[in-house]
Amino acid sequence: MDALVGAVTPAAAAADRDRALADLYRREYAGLVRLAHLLTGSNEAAEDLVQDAFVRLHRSWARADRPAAYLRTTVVNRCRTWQRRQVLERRHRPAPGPAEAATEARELLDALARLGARQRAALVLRFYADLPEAEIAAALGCRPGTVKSLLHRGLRRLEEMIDR
Amino acid sequence: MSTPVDERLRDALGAQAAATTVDPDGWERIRRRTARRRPAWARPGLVVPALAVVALVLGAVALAPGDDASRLRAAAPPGRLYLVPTLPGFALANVVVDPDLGSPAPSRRLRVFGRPAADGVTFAASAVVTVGDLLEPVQDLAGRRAVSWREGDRAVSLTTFGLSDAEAAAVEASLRAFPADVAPPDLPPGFVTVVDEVLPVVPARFVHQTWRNASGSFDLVVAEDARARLDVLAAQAPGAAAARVRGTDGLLLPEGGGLTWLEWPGAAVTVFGPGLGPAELRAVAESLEPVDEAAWRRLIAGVPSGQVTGSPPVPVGEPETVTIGEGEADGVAWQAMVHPASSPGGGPERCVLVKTSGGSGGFCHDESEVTEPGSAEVTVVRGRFLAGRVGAGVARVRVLLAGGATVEAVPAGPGAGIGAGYLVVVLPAGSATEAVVTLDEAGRELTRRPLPPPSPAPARSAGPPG
Repeated sequence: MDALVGAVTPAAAAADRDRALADLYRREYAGLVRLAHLLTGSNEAAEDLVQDAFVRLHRSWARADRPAAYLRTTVVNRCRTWQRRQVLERRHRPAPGPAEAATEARELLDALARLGARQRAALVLRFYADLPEAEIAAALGCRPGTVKSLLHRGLRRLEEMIDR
Repeated sequence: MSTPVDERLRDALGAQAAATTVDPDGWERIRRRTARRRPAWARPGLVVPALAVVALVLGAVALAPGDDASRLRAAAPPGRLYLVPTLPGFALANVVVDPDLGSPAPSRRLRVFGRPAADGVTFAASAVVTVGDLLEPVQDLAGRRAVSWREGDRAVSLTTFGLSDAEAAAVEASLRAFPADVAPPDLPPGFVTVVDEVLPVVPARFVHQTWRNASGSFDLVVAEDARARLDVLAAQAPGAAAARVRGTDGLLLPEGGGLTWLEWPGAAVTVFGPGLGPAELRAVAESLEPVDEAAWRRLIAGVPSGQVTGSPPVPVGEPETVTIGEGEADGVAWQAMVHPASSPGGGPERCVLVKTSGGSGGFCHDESEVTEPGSAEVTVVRGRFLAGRVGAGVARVRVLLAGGATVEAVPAGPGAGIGAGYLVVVLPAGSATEAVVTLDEAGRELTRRPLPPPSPAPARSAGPPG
């Protein structure tokens, strides 16, 4: 067993992963929570969903060659899942009162919330996160051409809604 | 002129984002959750054995190569821990995975009491009581006093260390006075209850690897059990020394017992081997790295024939989305994929999603659900696709249409990973489905099931991974 004594052991993969994850947290966490808030409209849900995404990345670390992109895609997807589950609740929710819809920005965000999940995600990734179409396509799992169409139709739909 | 909507949207999003609060404890929460690790790894029903490493290793040896491989599970559940050493010069010589202990697996009540030592990890004295159907072999190793007796049709054993003869006798007498699984033991001052519950004798999920080089060998055991605890091990290990290993507390066990620690809650890892001292054990431990399914399969493939028993798979992390079909239907591009998901109740699911530029649809099923051999479960998606999954033995699926026309599809094969056993069929425009027929490799009909006409109503819609 002499070979074992003094063998140079590589740094534990788990420790490396945890360090990298902590760095990623410092760099990305707040931005992702803001992104998730914009996609879900709920600050509380945003925190949960982003934390879920980090936990998921922790599990899949060996496979995630672009961890930041992986996180963003996971957050976007989890927000969409969350939104689907809110649909029924939303149907039974009272409409916002006049005070809530007072400002133009509020009106725009309410209109955004009424868009389909993909259109909404595309718009937020473009106009909040400033992502290029290729990265939006990667996050949404579609082609760049589809992103173009989502953005174009999404903006048009927003205009229609706020001009009513 | 009014501001374009995209600029107003940018402003509104920026203002909303600025109003977002960020939990300062977010990192702590993530750390707690990643430390707890996922439920998929922490399967219930398993435990580090009563006699800790010794029994665990005995369990592995009892099913070592040469035993009937049919007693071992055909497939290990996904999402578990696989660790392999990265020391140069060693080759994997033998592997045992998940011995099948029969159903139900034997269990017994384990009652462990201990007087904690000053280091906060080990115990200065302990009393271990087992009550069950099996008469467990107990030995007086390293100062342990062992005694066993019958209580009706049950066997009771009491193993102690750090107690005087009089103290041990008092414990034994107190246990004999009442049913031993509930009797309050007459223990000296300073004892705490470490565990007192019914647990399996040997963990059903573990991997035992033996690695060799020209000058020696070492063994590595990973036993997975949500309830595995270091203090339970410590209270059964006289002479154990606390040790830091891989950034956590561990135990250096005497008598060649090796080095053991919890890699994470629910995964007890032990390294041991003939003649290995603390330095060698630590070197092996620190060299361990988790591997994914592909790497594990490659590793197993290199082990001499007959030296692997049980099941070799084991994904670490989660499978990704797998495309099971794509193309164009009437000029419209479509893509079908399988991806992991979580059910509303939080359980693991797989979803089949068919996406077109006009929308998407599909279905989800519990990950644990298995399609009956020879059969197919299908659903019509968006009126133009038939998506589903097939059981073992199905080589092709034929869809019978009104008017006598047919469409056939081959399910995605094993190479498709989680997509294996799924299929998607494009139905001709305007066609009416009548039945789905499954066929084996030779083209023989296995099952035939009538199908309702296409209707865009899957039980539950599927979404992208996430």
